[in-house]
Amino acid sequence: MKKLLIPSIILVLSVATGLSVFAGKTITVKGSDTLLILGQRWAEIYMSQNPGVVIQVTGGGSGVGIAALINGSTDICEASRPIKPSEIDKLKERFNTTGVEIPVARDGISIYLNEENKVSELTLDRLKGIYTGKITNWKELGGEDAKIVLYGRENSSGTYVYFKENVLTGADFASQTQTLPGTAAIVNAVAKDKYGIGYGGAAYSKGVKYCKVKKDSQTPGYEPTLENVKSGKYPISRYLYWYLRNKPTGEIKKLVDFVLSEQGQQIVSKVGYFPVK
Amino acid sequence: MKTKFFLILLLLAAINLNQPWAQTPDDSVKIALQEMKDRLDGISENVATLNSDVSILKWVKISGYIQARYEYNDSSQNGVTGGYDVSKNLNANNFYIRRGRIKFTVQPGSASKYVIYFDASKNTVSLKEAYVELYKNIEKHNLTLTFGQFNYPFGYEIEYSSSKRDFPERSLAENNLLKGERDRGVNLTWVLPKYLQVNAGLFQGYGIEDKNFTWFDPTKAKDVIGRAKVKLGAVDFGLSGYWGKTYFPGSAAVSGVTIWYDANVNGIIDAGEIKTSAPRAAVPAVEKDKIRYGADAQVYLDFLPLGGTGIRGEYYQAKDNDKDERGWYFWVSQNIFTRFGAAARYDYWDPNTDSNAKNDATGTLSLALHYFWDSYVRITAAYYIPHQLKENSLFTKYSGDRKDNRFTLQFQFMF
Repeated sequence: MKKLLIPSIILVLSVATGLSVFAGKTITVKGSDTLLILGQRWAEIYMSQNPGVVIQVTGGGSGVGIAALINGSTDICEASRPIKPSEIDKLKERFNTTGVEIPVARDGISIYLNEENKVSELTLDRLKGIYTGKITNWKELGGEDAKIVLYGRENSSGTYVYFKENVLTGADFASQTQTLPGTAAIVNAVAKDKYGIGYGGAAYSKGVKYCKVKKDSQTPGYEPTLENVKSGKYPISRYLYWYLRNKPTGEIKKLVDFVLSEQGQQIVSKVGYFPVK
Repeated sequence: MKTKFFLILLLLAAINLNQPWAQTPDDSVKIALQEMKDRLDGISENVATLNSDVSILKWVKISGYIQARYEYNDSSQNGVTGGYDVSKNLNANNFYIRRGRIKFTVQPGSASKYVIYFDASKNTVSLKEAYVELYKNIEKHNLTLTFGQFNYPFGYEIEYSSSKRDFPERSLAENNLLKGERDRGVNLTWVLPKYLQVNAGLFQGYGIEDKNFTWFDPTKAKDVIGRAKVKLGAVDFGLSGYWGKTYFPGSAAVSGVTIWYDANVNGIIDAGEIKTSAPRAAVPAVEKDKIRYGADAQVYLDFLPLGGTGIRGEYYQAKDNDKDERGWYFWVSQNIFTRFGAAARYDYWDPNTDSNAKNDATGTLSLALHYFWDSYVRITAAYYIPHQLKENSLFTKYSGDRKDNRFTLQFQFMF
């Protein structure tokens, strides 16, 4: 038996070692579409300062990024929502780790309206009513007598999950919500649709106007500006995260340090999000 | 003539005015744009319909895995029992499919889910799971009601998928106490996010692999199973309990019979020509307690530059047919960068703690190495060293230990 065991182990290890790709200085970053542009900016500047390092940044949604982190196909996951306990369980099963969470930026979830829309502010309750299909006409909100057209993200998106949990308080989206593959697509759709409404990150606001959001009818409405998000006045703001499997070491640690550095956080502001430091 | 010529010109002009080519270039562009817009509107409607159809497909998720193995056993011999009983193979060195699983999950929204899960291995197809789940969130409390055939909510080994586990098989204790890992019943799960999960359920009690009670339960009362799991980040621990009954069918009374036969045809029944079988009293059916208690803990450490380290342990105490049983395991797992892993486990199983028979309890040392080919394929080499233990010993092997070490090479594809 031992005669068979040892050669088998050597065979498995040697095949594995021969085929294993320890991809030196290539770092893969995958996940949130909200963080995609920011991740690309960080990567461009880091690569320009560190020749020889290759960083591949792709989107797909927070859920896709976390799945990639769990199955080992990405080094860093970008997520616009916290990792779920069930996802941590999968990390434990596959990698014997609980993962490392690094808040890298803050974001106000913006509510986009077409620039011609007369409505300019909404309470959280009304937003919930709109997206659960209970409020269907702009007239009910002080706007024109026209049907509200809902745009939203796919369920693999962290923005979708955040909006569902924090604005809809767990309720389902109305079935007539048109799902689009990215926040940019939502902004584009609302910009072309006078009666459209959408939600997404602050970085993608060209061609539409921000809707002020009120906690309730008694409080004033606020736009997702740096001051309002930092002070907590804007009611739907969140952290944006990087997730790693293990404590960062080597080149990944250098990249994380860069992202959290003054320079990295200045890039956060330039892209349109809010720094964590 | 002039008048005629003028009338012809007038007629031609009138005809031209009615023709589209009489329009200005601006008008042509407008018409072309309108046509384009109409076409786009048509395409948009089609895309909206298509999106609606495709979104239904997103309800369905298909997942599964295959475990193809080669197994080498020290105990293997050529042939079958007695040289004629082909149902009992003496050779255990085989290529075979241990698990061939496919799971269909349909989740149309966040309120419910339907799952059906099959296994195709060793030339048979069987239903592993089929259940409906209903979800309800009350503030931060998440409730799930599961109804059908699904995993026992007992212990850590069951909730840890066979596709992820370091060792090709679960511990001996789990295999003996919770055979098949699944049963039919109803379970309520209450989750307080991040920290606590509590399960309580009613089950048939015979599992899905019982040979006698394949789908029905001979006892009216159902077995009760409960589990509480606490998650504290790098440390998780759980407690499980199982309270039920096992029905042992009795046997009918048998009459005593005397038969005689004048074999030598001498007209006399000789003593040797009388045969009597003794009567047998009926054996009444009985119900015996079926009790299991379990405690488990898992610790996850991230201090080695190689990768994460997992330490897991579980203890089982049980009672079946008036016998006390005990089992436990201790399992250390180490990731080696992204593509490699190694693990060692010692598991102990004593099916009768009151007996001190020399080969009563079994201790098994299991070793495993993994190579992750890509995100879908894992290659595992595992070696099992079981030994019968000396009386009252947890580790010291009995001198007459059987030659039964086992080597497994497994290729797993999971999607």
